[in-house]
Amino acid sequence: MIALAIFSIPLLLSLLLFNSRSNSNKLALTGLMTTLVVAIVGKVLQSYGHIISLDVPLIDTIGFHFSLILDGPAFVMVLLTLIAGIGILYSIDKEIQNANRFYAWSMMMIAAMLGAFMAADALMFYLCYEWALIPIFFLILKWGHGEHLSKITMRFFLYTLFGSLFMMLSLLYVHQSMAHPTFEMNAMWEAGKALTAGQQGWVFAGLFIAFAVKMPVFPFHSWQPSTYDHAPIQGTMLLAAIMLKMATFGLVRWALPMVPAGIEEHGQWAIYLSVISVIYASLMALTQKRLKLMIAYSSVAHVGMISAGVLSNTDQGTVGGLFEMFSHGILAVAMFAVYQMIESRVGHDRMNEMGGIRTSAPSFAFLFFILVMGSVALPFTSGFVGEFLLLQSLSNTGLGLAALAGLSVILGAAYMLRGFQKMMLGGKAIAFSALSSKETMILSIAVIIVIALGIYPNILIQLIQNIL
Amino acid sequence: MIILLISALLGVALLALEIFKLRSWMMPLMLISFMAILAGTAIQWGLAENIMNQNMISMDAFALKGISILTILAAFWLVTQHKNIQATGNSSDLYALIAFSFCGALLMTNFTNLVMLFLAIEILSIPLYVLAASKRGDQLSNESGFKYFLLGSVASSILLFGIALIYGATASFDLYTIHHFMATQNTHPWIMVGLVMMLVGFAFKISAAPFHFWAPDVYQGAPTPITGWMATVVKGAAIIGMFRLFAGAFEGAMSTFAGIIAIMVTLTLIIANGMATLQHNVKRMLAFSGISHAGFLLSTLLIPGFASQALMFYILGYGIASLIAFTIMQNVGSQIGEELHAFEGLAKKSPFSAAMMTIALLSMAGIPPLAGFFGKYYIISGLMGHYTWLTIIMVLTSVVGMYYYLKVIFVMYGKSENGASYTENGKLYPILGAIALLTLFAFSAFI
Repeated sequence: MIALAIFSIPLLLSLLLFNSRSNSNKLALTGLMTTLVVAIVGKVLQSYGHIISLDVPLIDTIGFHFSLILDGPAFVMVLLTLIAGIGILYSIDKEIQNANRFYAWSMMMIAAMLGAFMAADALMFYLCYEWALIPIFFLILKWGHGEHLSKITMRFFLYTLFGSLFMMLSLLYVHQSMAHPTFEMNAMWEAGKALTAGQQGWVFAGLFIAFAVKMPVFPFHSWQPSTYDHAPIQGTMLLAAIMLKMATFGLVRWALPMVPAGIEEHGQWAIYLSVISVIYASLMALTQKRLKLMIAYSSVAHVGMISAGVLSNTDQGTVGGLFEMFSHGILAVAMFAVYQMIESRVGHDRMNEMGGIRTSAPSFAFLFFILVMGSVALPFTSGFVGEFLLLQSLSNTGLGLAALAGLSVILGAAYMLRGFQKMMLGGKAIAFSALSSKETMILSIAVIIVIALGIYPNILIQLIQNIL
Repeated sequence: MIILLISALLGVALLALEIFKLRSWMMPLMLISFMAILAGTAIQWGLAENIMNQNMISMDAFALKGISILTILAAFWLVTQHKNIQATGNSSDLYALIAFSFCGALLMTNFTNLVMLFLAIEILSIPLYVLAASKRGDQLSNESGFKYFLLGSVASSILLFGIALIYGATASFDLYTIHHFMATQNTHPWIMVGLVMMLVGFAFKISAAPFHFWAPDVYQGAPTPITGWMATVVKGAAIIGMFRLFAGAFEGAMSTFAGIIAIMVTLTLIIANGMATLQHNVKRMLAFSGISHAGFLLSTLLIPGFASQALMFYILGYGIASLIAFTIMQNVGSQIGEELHAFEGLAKKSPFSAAMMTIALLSMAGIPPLAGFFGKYYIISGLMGHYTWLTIIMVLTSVVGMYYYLKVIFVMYGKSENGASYTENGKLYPILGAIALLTLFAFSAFI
């Protein structure tokens, strides 16, 4: 039942917010914090043997269950969704038009993503995966900016829809191969493994197209930079921090256990694509002149790393992937928050035209620097643990691949430090007012999480491995 | 039997009400009749299949399902379109014709004899020729009626020729006898020729490519409420009749015909979705989208074992969504215009209409958790593993479909605004429809 509460509190709140006028921000934040407390209490109860998962058969004829579980991976992603969600909604720094609807759509999106992470039923996962598109569609369309907004939104929506329909085909293919078709997670895994390696390869191809579009992986990434650029900043955070994790999480939860042989024998192209994506996105980030686009491309690079490591199908890969998803989610929120702080003060985000911010706002520069370190995977930050495990896993597939992907750490250091240097250091000092307490709080919490996980990664790793 | 009697007498009773100047009773009477028909199906539900009237009709489970679904759609059509029909001033004629056509639609679900099939199609179609042209002063409406009449009668005659050839080969009109004949005797060439002709006739009626050319013009020209009726109840009845015919009599020939049907489905999906992206007139776009849904409906014939659940669910989900869309379309069309730019900024003028249109379009596009998604889901999962290539085409064309549905949504929620004023026209029934679209999947086990 607690699993149901985690899913339904944001959902009910979203419906409430559509009809409320006052103080949407506080209501939404309180709701998310309540959900976070409920989730943690639920996990503790679960460790004492309480059953908190839920399994209600909805459509018997096709074996569709409304089924939610909170095992290790799901719990980590739920934590990420809620913590990042709180950060995202808390980071709003100016009045939004139709604020209640904005919060309502955000909450609905968070509910859908929570559903996808907790789903123990393939159709339920698919439904939530698709459903999360509708809120973000309206968020971008109504609160985004730029001239070609509708064109960009259309491309984003059609692209991701196109991908996920292939996932449906793959899931259905596995589903119909059963004697008594059901979408239940374990049954889907078994049925998938029972297919021949060739069939598994096709099933994996369908799944990977869906996930690759969402992550995105080169060559399916073309929707991403412009969408990130024109979406409202909170929408971008939702996309980068949480939504694309549905795809990487989908690899861990559905692709790996269902079609291992297919990945092993016919799925290596996906690893190559992911590694290419890492290099390509790093190089692109290196050439960007605008901070927001640089962060967007760096996000592509990190996700490509997650995808490559996870697909190597080792334990380190899975654990490292989930770890990196969490770490990247927190860092993405923080990085885009940094962008928002700079953009709202300077008026643009062209890195070449800035400089010397450190002299005006030293504490901001310090916090930003630690985030940059986390992003380039320096030891004692959370980014290091994730990338290390992923690279180790990737080296099992091929040392060359791991070496290539490892380049991204160097390239990442190059573009991140270069960006930092251009904006924060240098002779010309542009005016930059000190951070408000709210902004300091957001960055500090992110920094604390990044460092804590870097020094003591076992907290999260044990949670991930705790399969209850 | 009582069900058919009710539906047949309904039209006569409506004409009588006009004579006694009791126009305001018409809508309640129709609603009561629809309720009575639903009650009738509920009573007969689960009873042994009873073949009636010299083996002409059979109220089996398939027929009862079909009748309930068509009746629900007809009732929903009635409550959403009542005001528009009243506004035309000759509601008694229109309602009587609708009732007759409804009677034909019901017959399409339960015939067991090819003669009954032909009668059902004619009873269904002839009122529609008049209805399509019922906006008397309007040239497009006249053109629509005339086109529909000419092409529809050609289709009917081809169908009739097919029936005659089959009779020539099997010496019977009875579906069971034909089925038995096909199972035991060598296939006679006339049967194949006849079957192709019947297939062509039906393809005309459900507007499947390459026999779809009449549909856009007719749908666009006919008054919007009538278009709504044609796109939902009539199309549903035609495909139910086709399904019954092929499942009941020509199961043995399906191995030969599956290929032809699969190609027709492919053509329909590609042509309809491709053409729909080019349209600037929303009503015409909805017509093309209706053709593409005919492709999905037709593909249910390919599902092994003739499982009717996918078909019935799709008709209901698609029907409700299109009726909502046509209701909003009628409101916007009569007050502003039918072109795409008439929808500009509708969300600001009437958040309600825009939201309903959005839900209907998203359902037609197959976005979960709306009914349209589950409709497509049942069909694709039925075909998966048997016609995997077809499911891939379905998925790809669905993305194309998403594009033109989204265009309307974008225009409605976009920044530019059309100057013309707009007033709501009844809220309750579209809301009911939207709720149905959201919850329908939970009932799919019963359908």
